[in-house]
Amino acid sequence: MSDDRHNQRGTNPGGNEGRAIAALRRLPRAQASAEARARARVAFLAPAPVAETPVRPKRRSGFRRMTALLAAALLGAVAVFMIGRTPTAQWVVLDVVNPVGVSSPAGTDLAVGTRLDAGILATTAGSELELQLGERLRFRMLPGTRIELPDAPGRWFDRGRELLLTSGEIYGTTAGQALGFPMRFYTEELSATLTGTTFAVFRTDSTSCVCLWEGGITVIPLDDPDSPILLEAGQRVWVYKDERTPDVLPLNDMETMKLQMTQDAGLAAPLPQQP
Amino acid sequence: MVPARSQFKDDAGALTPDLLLRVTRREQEPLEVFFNHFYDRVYAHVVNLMRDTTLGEDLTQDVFMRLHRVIDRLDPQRDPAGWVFTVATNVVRDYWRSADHRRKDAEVHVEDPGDLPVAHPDRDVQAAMESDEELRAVWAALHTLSVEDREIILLRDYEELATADIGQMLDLKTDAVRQRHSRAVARLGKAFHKREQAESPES
Repeated sequence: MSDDRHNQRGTNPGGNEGRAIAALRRLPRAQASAEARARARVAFLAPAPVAETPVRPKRRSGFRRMTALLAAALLGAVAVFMIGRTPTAQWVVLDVVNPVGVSSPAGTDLAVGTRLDAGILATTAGSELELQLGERLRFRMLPGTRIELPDAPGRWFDRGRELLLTSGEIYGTTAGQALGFPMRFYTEELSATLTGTTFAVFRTDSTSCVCLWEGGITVIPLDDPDSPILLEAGQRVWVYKDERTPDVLPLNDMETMKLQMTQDAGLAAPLPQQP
Repeated sequence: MVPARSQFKDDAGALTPDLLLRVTRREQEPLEVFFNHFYDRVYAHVVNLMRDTTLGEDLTQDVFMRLHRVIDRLDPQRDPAGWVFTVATNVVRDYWRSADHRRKDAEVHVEDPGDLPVAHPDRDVQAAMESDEELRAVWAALHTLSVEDREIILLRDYEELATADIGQMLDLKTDAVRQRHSRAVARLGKAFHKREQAESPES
């Protein structure tokens, strides 16, 4: 290879070409932020644990599966007609269990394919809701969960997205892909910036917890923002409202099983854009 | 202080076959050396291609996640740079194929009218470019080229990868790489000259 490199340097095209290449070789390298570097380092050095016997996600019933297939086919057909139109990244409902128990912004009727921009969503006992953002991030709200989705920022100004969890549990994944934009989860106790991860966030009255299955998450306790916690795969961190020192612990069996199921479920097929 | 491109070539001898063998066994210390050796190069390459630091950070993390999954396939007897950049190239191409890119690509083209200057997304690099007309001209010229031209010039002239490695990366024969590179450099030269003329006081 070194011979090739010498030959390459020896090529030395003249005139404008030579000066352009010489200038290009002087171009300084961009440097990533320390946080991004640390996240990538964790993802490289401590990747997701491999389960010996993967737990498969529960299969849908025949009727629901057929309904989902028909819905996906319909969405796909719509997508063909929407090619070329500028899409807008919105939250899209992927699944609703017991819709009566789910409250939505302005009382919107939630069904598979419903699009949401902002507002408060809450699930009561027996209800669950699953959302996906573009083709990048999918998460599920378990029963008894309440979240707030702020307005999406203007595309020209900031692509970052945020989500506030006020109570309950959410499990999410990017299916190992890069998000392409900063995604931050907030609770009363912490903020968590994620990218390329499978994760969970819990909140009770006085504590918040972030669980990480793969990738990297930087967790910042809001009462001590100068002490960020870089969570590694297979770990969870509890952050307390009463200013106790956060506890970093290994994932327990239940969290491991749910996160494995979340990862196995992956992302939904590309979704059509809003007409 | 922005590191010069050449700074990353000084420790080229750090990755010995013995160390790379331990990398394939996923030993932590060699993995750390491997990561430190390539992270900045891969990040800068992705940023140079995509002109987006946030995306650069995300995609670079994706590159290293993929590298870890296939690290046992690394050949310890060869310089791993070609292999690392093959994975990086695949990650970038996957992104280009995604809907997210198609959407953002439309925005980027709107940002590139005529001969206007093209800002570097990294503030420090942009600051270095402010006082150097040639750097500004070549950066702007680079981003008037097609993605394929930009990619082959960056791989060969900025990263100084071997033609054979680039051929494997892009699924091209060595002669085809040379030909494509030669044409890309010619186009870069023309664009560079045009940019220089546009910036000169007489124009």
